[in-house]
Amino acid sequence: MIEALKTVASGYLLELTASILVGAACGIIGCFVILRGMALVGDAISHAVLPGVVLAFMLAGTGPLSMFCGAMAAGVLTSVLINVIQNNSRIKGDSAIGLVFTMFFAVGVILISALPRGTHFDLKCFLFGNPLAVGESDLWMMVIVASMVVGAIILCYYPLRTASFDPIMAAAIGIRPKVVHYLIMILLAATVVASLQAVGIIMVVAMIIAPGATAYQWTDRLGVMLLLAALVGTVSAGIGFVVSFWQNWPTGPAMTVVAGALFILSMFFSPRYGVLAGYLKRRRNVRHIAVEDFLKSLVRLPDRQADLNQIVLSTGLKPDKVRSLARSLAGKGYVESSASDTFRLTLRGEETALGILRTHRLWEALLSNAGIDKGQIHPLAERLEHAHELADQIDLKLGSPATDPHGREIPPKE
Amino acid sequence: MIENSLEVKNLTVSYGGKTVLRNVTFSLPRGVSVSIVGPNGAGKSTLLQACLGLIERDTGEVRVLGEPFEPRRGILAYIPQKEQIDWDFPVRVQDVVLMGRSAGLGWFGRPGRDDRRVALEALRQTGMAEYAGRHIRQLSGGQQQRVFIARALAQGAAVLIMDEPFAGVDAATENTILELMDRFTSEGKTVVMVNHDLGILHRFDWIVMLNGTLIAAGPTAETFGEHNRQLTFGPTLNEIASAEQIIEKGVAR
Repeated sequence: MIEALKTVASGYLLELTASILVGAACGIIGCFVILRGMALVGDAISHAVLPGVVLAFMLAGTGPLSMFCGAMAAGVLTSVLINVIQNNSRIKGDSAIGLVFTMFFAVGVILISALPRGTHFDLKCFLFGNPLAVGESDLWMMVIVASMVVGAIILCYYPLRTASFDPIMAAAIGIRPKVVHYLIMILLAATVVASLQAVGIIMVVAMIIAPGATAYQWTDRLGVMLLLAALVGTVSAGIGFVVSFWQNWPTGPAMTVVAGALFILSMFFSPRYGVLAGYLKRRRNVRHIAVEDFLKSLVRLPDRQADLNQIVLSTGLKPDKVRSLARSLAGKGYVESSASDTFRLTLRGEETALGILRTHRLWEALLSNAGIDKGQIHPLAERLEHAHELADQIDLKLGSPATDPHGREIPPKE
Repeated sequence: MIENSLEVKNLTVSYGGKTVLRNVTFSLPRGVSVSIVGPNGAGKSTLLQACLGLIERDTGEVRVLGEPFEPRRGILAYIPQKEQIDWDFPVRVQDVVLMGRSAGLGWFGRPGRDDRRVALEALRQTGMAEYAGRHIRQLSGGQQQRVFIARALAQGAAVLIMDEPFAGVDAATENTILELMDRFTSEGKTVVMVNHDLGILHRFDWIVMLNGTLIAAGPTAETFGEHNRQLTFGPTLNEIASAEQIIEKGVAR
């Protein structure tokens, strides 16, 4: 690992810089691609640049500028053709995209076969990417184009945000949706072209989507999402680059795999929208409710104690669950349990349990006040009683009633 | 003092060779609430879109406050339908309202401190200031409508355009919209909306009746008469069964 870092630092700094910048540009444009639902278009553009690259190679030989122009022309032509098919036939967008880019790709492959014998065209480099196999001028092209994409998005941030969020309103204040659409198309095409030799035609979409998708799990602000996506793109490219030296992996796929791994990590572990956070929240809720039901079942009994069977019957919890709850409540000093599975509320436990009972009976009073059928009040209150923060408000609204609709005393606030 | 807020002259719009709106001419005074009514396919949404400059006009002219409509001035505000918005879009309430300040900023412009102040003030006026930092998904339906109305306020528009604001909203939200509408009109702004609910027509000062072409435009009580209703909806439609009551409410108002 250290050795790989040393090798990169001593001989491949330009390659690393170019890859990292491409990662950042992909991440930033990717946010708009995700939010505008253009992932398929990005895939189409990346495949469709092949004939442009080959034609440029035929006409002008290798050179970053001719390659860039050929690829851009093919990319923009693709998006125009997709729109033309969509607007002039009953074919829908996804089908139009599927038609156009496969045709372009096929033409590209045929053009390669038509190249004169003996010419060296490295198709593999375009398909799978390899920042180590390209010349210095190509690397500089990547650096310049990626920086321009990032700069353009920073400059036009506000109109891009407005038009992506609400295109009709944007049009009404003079931000023309068509202009925005083609601006993003051109930036997307430029990003694809800059990324081609780093990650290749097949994987460039992953580098565009994955960082933005990762960032989307962490924030509710577009500006932060763009920054995070740029960071994730940078880190993916950087780590992938070093790993490819360390493990002798192909560079493009290494970067793509890192980006994908970061996405999977955030999908599970992001604090706001992550799968794990959602699971924990649900579990905490279930446990909270079980604890309250346990305490309430005890406080309703005259001597504040019950055996395992009584609690299982009144709460509907499994015996093992009741025992484990009792252990944790005993640890907090709410409950004392004896060896024969008998549980008794402590003074502290009684206070808490009375609070729960109070909320429950206040909710019952409120529901009855609202004209809800008496038979439905109890089950409804069973669910609502866990919202303690509302108890005092209800108390105030109802003028501190002494009893619930069933005539039982509502415990006062301690 | 300019008398008219929105003027439409000889407006004709067609889609793919089919004329949707034919030779529509009307003008609306300032400070009124206006309901555009008509059967399905009457060209109501087309009329709004043509006014906003979203679709090409074959002929015709749209003037706002006496001058030809120019989008960059931000003089018309558009409030979208609920389902047109991606509620997962990463914007907070204050970001949405700040969009109202984009008019006239051009491609490279950035809203400044003044713009932020105006946006916050607009949030205050709609009672949404305390939600400025919330994501739009975390609001109730009525609050979401308030945010978009605050955006129109921040834009400083003279005419607010709403496309079916009552579609798929609950009664409380409908009331919110109608109350804010009354407040705007009392401040001299004009509110124009497409509205299918003839039962609330009495809440509007004016109506524009459409059926491919203009049937009538004018103050609600004197315009929504038997003759115009027949021309707009045809003679046998159920939805105008209670029309007499609607007029009564309107006159009583």
